Amino acid sequence: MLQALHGSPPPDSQRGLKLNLKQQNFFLPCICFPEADLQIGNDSRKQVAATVTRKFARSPLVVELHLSPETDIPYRAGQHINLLCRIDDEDFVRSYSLSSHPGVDEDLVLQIALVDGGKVSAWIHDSLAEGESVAMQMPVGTCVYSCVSVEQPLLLAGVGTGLAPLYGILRDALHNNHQGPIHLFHGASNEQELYLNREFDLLHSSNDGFYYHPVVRSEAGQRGISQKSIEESIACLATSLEGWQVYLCGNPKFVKQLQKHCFLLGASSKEIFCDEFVSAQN
Amino acid sequence: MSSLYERIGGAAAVDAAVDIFYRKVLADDRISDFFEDVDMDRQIGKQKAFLTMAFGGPNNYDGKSMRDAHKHLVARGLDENHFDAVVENLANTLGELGVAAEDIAEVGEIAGSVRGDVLNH
Repeated sequence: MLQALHGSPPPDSQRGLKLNLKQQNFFLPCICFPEADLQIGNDSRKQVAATVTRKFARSPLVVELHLSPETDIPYRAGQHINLLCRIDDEDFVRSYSLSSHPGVDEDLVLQIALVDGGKVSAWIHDSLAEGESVAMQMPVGTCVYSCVSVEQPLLLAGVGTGLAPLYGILRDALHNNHQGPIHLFHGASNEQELYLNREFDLLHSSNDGFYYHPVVRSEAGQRGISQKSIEESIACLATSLEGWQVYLCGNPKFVKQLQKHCFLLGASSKEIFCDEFVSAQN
Repeated sequence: MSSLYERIGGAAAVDAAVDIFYRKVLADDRISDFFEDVDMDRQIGKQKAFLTMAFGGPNNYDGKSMRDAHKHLVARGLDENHFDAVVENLANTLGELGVAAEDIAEVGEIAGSVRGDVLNH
């Protein structure tokens, strides 16, 4: 599969691809007979420097990092970037999802969880400071708002910082005047880690069709926090997901299980978009 | 006379059938274990290739690739009954889509033609 950076690939060369891929001009070169000029390529490896303009704790485990790149960087809400870091003379590359929206936020925004034993996340949490510069690569990723109809119901579900890209996708849907209901589920280890609940309450009060469903796994939650698993919460919401569009982000086990669950509930395989956060080995 | 693939509806029919078929397979206790922990998007792609072949459409299936692809499943106990269950789900899918009984029977025959390779006999 290749991506056209300029020009539109013929529809026949996109046969069978998911909507999000079609909309981002991906195509199958083996069945592509271009009808006009197409520029294909891949600039995802291009490096740019970015300045940390803001850094603050969202929760005990999550810091939010605002980055201002040295050049304008086009991206879609929900994509991710690679950060390139040098720590103790060792080079590391880590992918982090963008929670920002290009039409709303001036900076690129990352929400980064402190990983147990993770060198890079510890360095970001403890050492990286506002005003410092980091190297990054261009935004990539296909889990982006991809609705054909603004009336379609949306289900967004994530665990941990899987919430970051969903926050971007949600605001992209609202930015595009999405009219159908939008239900966002966030699973966290405890109530403190529901780190965007205030933002969602505000969005709920200003957008009739948006509903936020926080789910905590352990501890006895307070009022409004569901003790059920996300799957059970979805079951309370709808018996069938036929006609829905589904966005899932977080650890691979969660994403795979929920992808299957939503598919069995009737969501079309072409309308389930996934972003699996794979842990680094070192 | 039109071919089986044309009568069923070609690539559009494969698209229409794949979700219904795969949902039946995943919900079928006789065979669902074989589909635990597989990458769903990749599996849907494979199911489309299988349906295209079974519908008499253009395909690149050959005996060796069929054998290699299922060897690890045979090692996990894949047998005649599981194969029959898949073909049964396929027939029910086509029935739901309004495909004529004689065409469903023909699809069943094509699918059955790979039985020996799938089961590594």
